[in-house]
Amino acid sequence: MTGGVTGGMARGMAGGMTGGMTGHMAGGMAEPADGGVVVVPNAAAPAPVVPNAAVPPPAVPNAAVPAPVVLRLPAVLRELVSGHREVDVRVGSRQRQEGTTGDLVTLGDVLDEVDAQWPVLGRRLRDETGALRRYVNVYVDGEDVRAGDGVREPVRPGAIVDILPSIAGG
Amino acid sequence: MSTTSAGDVLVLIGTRKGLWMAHSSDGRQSWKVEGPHFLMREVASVAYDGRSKRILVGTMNEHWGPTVMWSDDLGATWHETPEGPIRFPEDTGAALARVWQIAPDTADRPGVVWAGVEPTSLWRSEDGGETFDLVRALWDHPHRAEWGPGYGGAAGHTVLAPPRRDDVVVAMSAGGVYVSEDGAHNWAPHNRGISAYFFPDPYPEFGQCVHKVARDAGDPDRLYAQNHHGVYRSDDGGQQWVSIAEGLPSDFGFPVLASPRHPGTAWVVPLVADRERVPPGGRLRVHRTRDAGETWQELGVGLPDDCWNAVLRDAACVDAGDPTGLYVGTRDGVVYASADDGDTWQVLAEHLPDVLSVRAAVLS
Repeated sequence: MTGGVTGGMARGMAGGMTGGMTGHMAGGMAEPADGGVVVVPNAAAPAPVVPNAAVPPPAVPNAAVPAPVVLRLPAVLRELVSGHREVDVRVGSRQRQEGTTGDLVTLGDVLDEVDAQWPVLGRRLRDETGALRRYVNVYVDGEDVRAGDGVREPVRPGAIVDILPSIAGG
Repeated sequence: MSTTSAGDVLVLIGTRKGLWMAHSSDGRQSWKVEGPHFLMREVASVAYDGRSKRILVGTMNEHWGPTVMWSDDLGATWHETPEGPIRFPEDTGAALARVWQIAPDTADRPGVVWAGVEPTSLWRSEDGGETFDLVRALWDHPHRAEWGPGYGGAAGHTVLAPPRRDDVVVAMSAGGVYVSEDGAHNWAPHNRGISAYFFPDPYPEFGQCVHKVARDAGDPDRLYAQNHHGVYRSDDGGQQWVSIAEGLPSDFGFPVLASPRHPGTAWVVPLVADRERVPPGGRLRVHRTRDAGETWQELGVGLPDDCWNAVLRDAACVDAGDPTGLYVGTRDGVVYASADDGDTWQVLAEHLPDVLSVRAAVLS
């Protein structure tokens, strides 16, 4: 299926973004200043920055960069993210709801970023009013958001968001 | 699908669990059926745009929602507009539920494709069906708040736009027939003579549950309508409707088809209703008129005598061949095909999920 499937940042790709390593990953993953994730063509990507071997990288993640939310997808949706079971979703400041501070984001913020990076996937999860589709279940760190605040459910940095279809059909 | 040649016939079959396609290269004598595409997605609307050779399908999955998919290579690959081909504007507060109709316009309006949608609305594309805009004039019509859902949902299910004219006919369940005479900028109900027995006033200005409307081949002002009880003809573009149900075993049914070649020729598929929704006596029959509904002929050679399933409003179609080919799909997953105006029928496909939409095209 074609149609606007962008790469985002898939779990399992070499490296991820560890504290203290700046620059571009091989393969053209660039992170703009506002924190959203974009993909640039490999041919245009500059050579990766190699840390000075005499200076080991810091052992702890950079506290200024929140850990991405991990979005886990059922098999039926993985083709929309190049076949990956999990993708990292890093919510930039632009997506955060008014009034939220620090690293606090909502499920809606996370899904807005999904819309931006993988629009077809975003439409599978929510309709154009922003409502979760009726038979799409979302769990944040194991908790069903429908039992909580729905799309307003707070999502901590590094949270795991599971997308699961309801058991239905005939 | 294997290579095709001019004159081959393509039949698109949308079902509750996917899309199948049938192809004939021998004058509709035999068929090769392939599928499914979009397994476990409902396919309520299918269309072949002969201008661009594009297949368009409206799909819906209960979990993952509705969309429009298209293929420019007879189903080898499929495409979807990333941001969504049909998105209700934010100010409407509405969300797309289902695409009930995809209707490519005529050669004199290249790229224009119409879509009838649930919630009841009309959409227009100028890029061959990749993106659509809401026809605001119909969405903002003061009657909209009173349009109700039929049993299958509140659907704009019929869109007719004739060549070289600006009028557009839309039928909805349940709302009735609406016509624009200025290219979809202004709309008026056109239901005089069509009954709505479920209202205190059985002949209201609007609100009828019109199941399908078809346009006559010879006179663009002549329309045929299959209603929720009632088969009608209009000779003035829908201003006034007269009953043409006399001679039919039942005035209930879902589809109505008009010949694309022969004026005055149309077909219906009667069902007993309302407590039942089955062919009369379990005998699936198609009825044909050649005189615009004055008389009807029952056609059944090759159709079953033990069929207790309905044919839904878009599960039947004609092709542009000569004689006219007809295709009728049932809720028990059988598609019957005729290559001779309906005189005789053969099974084109069977053991499919319930058939929702059928469209056929003679490939150029």
